[in-house]
Amino acid sequence: MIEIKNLSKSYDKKKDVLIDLTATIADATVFGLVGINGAGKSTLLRLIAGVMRGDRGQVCVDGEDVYENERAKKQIFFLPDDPYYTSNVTAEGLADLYRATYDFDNTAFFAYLEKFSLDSKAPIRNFSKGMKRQVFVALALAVKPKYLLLDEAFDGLDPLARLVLKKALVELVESKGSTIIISSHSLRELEDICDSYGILDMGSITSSGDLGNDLQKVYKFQVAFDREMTPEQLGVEYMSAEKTGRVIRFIIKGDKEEILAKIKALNPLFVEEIDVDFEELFIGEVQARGYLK
Amino acid sequence: MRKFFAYEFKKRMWTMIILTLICAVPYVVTTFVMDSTYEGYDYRLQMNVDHPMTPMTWMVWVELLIMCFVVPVLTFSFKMRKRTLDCYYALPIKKEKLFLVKTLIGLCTVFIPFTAAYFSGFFIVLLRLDGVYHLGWYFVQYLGLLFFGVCLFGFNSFTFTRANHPADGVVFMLAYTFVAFLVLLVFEVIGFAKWEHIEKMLYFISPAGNAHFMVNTEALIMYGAQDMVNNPSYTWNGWMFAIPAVYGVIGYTLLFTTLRFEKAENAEQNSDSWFGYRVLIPIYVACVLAFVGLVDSILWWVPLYFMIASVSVVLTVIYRRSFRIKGWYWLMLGIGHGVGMLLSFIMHLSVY
Repeated sequence: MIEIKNLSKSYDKKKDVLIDLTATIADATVFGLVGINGAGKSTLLRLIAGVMRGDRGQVCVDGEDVYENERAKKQIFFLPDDPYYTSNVTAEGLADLYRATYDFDNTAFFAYLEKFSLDSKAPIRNFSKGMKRQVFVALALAVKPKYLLLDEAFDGLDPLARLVLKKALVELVESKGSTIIISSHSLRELEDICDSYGILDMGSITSSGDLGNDLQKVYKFQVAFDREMTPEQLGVEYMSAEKTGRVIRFIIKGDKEEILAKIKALNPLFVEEIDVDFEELFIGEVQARGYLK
Repeated sequence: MRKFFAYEFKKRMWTMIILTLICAVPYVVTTFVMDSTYEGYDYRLQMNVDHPMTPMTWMVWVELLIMCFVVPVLTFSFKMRKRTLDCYYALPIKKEKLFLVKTLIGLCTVFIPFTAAYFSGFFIVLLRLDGVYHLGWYFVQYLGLLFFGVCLFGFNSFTFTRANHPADGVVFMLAYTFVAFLVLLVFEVIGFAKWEHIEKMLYFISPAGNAHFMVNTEALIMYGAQDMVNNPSYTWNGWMFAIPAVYGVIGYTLLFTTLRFEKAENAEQNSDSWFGYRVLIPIYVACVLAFVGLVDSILWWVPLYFMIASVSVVLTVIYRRSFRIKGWYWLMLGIGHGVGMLLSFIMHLSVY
């Protein structure tokens, strides 16, 4: 279990990136970490990985502080958004570093390289962005860590590689009971595999929970009127809304029947419920916090 | 840790091979083609005699000095780039162990090429010029240079790692090479050098100041120990070994003890360490200003002060990468200028 206790971090004294952040990430789950650009997702992952130390508070893995703790860090693999490699290194050469520091599964590594159709002896510098990402994904999966931290996990990956990654992550959780934290802007991909999520904003996790449950608590309605109406005139506290002609679509939390009763009282031409996905939930949340208006 | 060391060593292998070739080839070729003796006038014997040629070991010494500046850059630049830092600091290795491995690899990168070059030249001498030189002194020189190299590498590694950007690190290494010499020189010109130890220390005060050992041992290789007994120009003294040892101990100790204060997020930021520009610029300003005291006409002092002040502000702007200089930096510059002006007056009074 990962426990983040009252964690604060600032890069200079003027700007706090994380403020008194407290969160618990349960074992054997896939946790989606989302937030707008600059929200502090990469910083939080670096702190969990023990790359940096918080100004205050701590990050504990299985009850132990992560920072400068070899035993705790041995269970963590951090794949940053722009991972490092030397100019002439091959995928095989890159694996040497992780062979020297982790319990590395060679068979799994070469199997993933084969799955991604990558040449293990070719210099990585000649690979495309997505291929480089695939090499590092193969490395991460071959380490089989208990805690896998992926920053911008799907960035640059083609749809097939995304599918392979998602399957592999689910396998890792099922076979080894691993916990995976993924930060990504590809929310549709996260929705496929995440059990839980956290939205990072203004230095703390403003919204979090079980993704499936939370999506069921949020509704999206499409309403058409025979007259001009604004979203504000609906008389409900929506999270986000958009208007096209006389049609209004809005996302809302609360008692569904009560909301429908209020809308129907306005005599719409029709009102229908549409499925909400994670991206809409996220946009609704950030709009409710005053962004994108 | 052994596995990690083996990985780093393997990664550095090509660099070591290339450095070995760069160091060995010029020295080996030189020893292979050089004449063993030359005819010259001996003032003690007052006649022309055959002198042995210099064994040219100074070539490997120069290469050693250069490597002691280049290899810390290759070894410790990783802590100045976010990408490499994310990679290394996320590994399940404590910082102390990581830096220990890096330091050992750095030492190997310096001393494997140095040793290979030194002894390949030695063997050519052994094969071609046996009987010309006092070969036993080669080993003394080698061990001495090894000692100086270890100390210099340690100190340079410390000064280099004070920076958050490799270019700043190189500036720090070079600045620290001359700063103590410059301070001592100011004292000497002012007149404190009457204390004889300062005068003696002046030759060895730089972390790279081991030229005397090199020259002395080259002469010993050429003429043997008997020459040292008879010839007063040999300048052996305790400072020659004590000062590099102090630099080495300071370097290695601070390199490891300051690790706990290192912040990963400082990589690629301004190099704001107290061991860096903050202190170096005021010290250099004070020393350069002090020498203004050597100008006899005081009328020239104002434009010179103004020029040095402008240069110091420009340097501060460059390193801060901003025209907005905080109060702290003004204060440090002010102290540097104040001390420098005071020293220039003292120097003027002591010289004129």
